[in-house]
Amino acid sequence: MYPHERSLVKQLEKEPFALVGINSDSSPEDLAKVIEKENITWPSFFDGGSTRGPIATMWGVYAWPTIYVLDHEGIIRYQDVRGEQLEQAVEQLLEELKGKSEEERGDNTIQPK
Amino acid sequence: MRAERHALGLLVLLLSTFTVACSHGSPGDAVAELALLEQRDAQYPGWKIAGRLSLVPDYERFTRKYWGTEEALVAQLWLLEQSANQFEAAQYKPTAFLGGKRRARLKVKRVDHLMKGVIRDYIDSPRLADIAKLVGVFTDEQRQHYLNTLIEDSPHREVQAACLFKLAAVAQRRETEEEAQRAQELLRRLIAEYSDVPWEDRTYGELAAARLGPPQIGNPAMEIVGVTWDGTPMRLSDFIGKVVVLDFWGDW
Repeated sequence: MYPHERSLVKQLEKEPFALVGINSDSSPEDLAKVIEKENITWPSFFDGGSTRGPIATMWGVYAWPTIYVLDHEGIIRYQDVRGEQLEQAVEQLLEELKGKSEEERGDNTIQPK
Repeated sequence: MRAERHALGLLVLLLSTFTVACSHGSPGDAVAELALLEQRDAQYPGWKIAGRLSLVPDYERFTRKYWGTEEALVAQLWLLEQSANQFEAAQYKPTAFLGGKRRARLKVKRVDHLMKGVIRDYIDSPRLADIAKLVGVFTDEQRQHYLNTLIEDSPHREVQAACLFKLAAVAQRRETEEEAQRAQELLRRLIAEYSDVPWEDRTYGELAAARLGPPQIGNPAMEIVGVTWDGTPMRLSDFIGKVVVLDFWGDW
């Protein structure tokens, strides 16, 4: 998983995109070690040190990894997409975001009749 | 000399008894008297409603005498509980049609009376969290309104969370599309604002999440407030404006 995530983050460096982890490892020290070893550049929440941490519980996560893709407004748009599908999902939402901001620019230039 | 002292002691004793009997009791008396009432209440098992009801006048006298103390609130909540029990019994008894409806209406009136005092004089008490389940028995709008009042006016997050959860539970029970929507909104609000408030050995966040079920595509993501591995605070909403891949992971 890590190499793919790394490349996704690298590839979308300049885009309005973020990879956010929720980590269920047993201690912040363990997490720090993994981050160091695997060269993890993106942020992760530390979820209290167990798979029944508050964040996983609230999100009803019972299997790892679990992936959600959110659009720029924070709406859940995809769930459990992997590999190429994940990339496509992100691309699609980035397109949508670009489309929207262009539309807004368009709206501002509406001419009076 | 000794006799004189005895006489004096007796006089003081008489005087103090007299003062207590005339004025409102002191807090120490409230504790002892409430313990006595609770002892009498404890002889009746939970289903012996009639037995417990025989204590109502004594509890009422107690609340009047010690109104303003914490003990009087405990007693008032006990009275509320009896009304809630009676209301439920009147509704579900097979003889409900024989005046049961009228009795239920009377109970509702009584709850209004009891709640008025509580809201007026005890709104700051953390004990009002217990009210959520008592008032939750009365599912009509007017009684549900008490829960809204507590959510807005209580300074305690435990009270607010308990009332929000009860409102959501009642809305879910109604089983209409509109109410289901409302229940979801309430549960999301609980998760967003009260996820750290404890409920027994869990939290309201967990309770609400269990009722809400896992997040659905098309719904707003639940807020996450937490820290990274080095303790830096972080929120999911920090990333609004970006496309976000949320990855629940572990290195195992």
